[in-house]
Amino acid sequence: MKVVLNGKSVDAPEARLHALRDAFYPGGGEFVTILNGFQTPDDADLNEGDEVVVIEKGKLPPREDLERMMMARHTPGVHEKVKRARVAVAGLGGLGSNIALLLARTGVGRLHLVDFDVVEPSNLNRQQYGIRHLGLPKTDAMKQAIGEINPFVEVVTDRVRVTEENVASLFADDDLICEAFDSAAAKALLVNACLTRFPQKFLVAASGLAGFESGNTIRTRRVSDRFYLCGDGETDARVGRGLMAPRVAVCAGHQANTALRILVGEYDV
Amino acid sequence: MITVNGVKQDLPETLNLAAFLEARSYARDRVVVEINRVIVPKTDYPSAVLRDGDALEILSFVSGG
Repeated sequence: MKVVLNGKSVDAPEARLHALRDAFYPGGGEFVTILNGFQTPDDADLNEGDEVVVIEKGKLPPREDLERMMMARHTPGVHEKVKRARVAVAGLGGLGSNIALLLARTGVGRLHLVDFDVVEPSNLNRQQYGIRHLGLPKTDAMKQAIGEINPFVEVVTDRVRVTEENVASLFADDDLICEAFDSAAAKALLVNACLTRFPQKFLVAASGLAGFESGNTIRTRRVSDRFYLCGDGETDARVGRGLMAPRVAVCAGHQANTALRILVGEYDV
Repeated sequence: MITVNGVKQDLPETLNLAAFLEARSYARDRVVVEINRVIVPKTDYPSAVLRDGDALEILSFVSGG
């Protein structure tokens, strides 16, 4: 019987998970065993075509096995779909830095990071940067952070401010655009430009995520065929109401999850 | 009578979209507008005249990200 073990098709000696592990990894050691995306210490029946990943704990695997092992907890079939995708993240603040890392962990093949700004101390209350990133362009800082988490993602950066003039050429190569700006006018500019110029691309935008109101009011709405909007729609950042890491991350999670759903062909919200 | 975000409203006078948004205190640089499910480019706001029976969807973005 053929199964896929750490990315390679192999003959399983018998139709049992532990027998497969012991056949290919004799000699003992402590192993993590993952069957079709589910990690289990238990033995199990194997079926033709099952995907099995066996990871020896505490041992750095060879680079050619690393990506397969990193994606071993994915639902089967997801990695192949997201690996082909080209996703833009427009704005690398609280929303965009979270979205970029979530999609990098998901294994999106190409991430296009767009931001004009540098990392400042006031960003660290909600954005996925560290002290060592202070003063760096956000595009460079996020590219570095992604490289440390998933070096198999192709990262393309543009350190520019998005304008009416550059928007068409800037996002020409992306399949899906995540709007993640801070300013309302910048959000509206990008959404208007995308809906007008890129009717064939998917757009996932956000509005209303400030403060520490209930996380349950943040939701995702499918505004039109290829345009999704996340957030509560009204809670703005203003004098007296800040932007807090948890609620920003809830909204970024909605956006990244919506992007993932679109990439695997689930279009409902 | 027009519909704005699902709510019927009287349209007492002939208005273009730019004037309508100003009259209703929408910040023009923060909105996305569809008329009858078709997105209206910003440059067309002054020439887009609202007609009886039009359905408007006005999305007003707020700051924060």
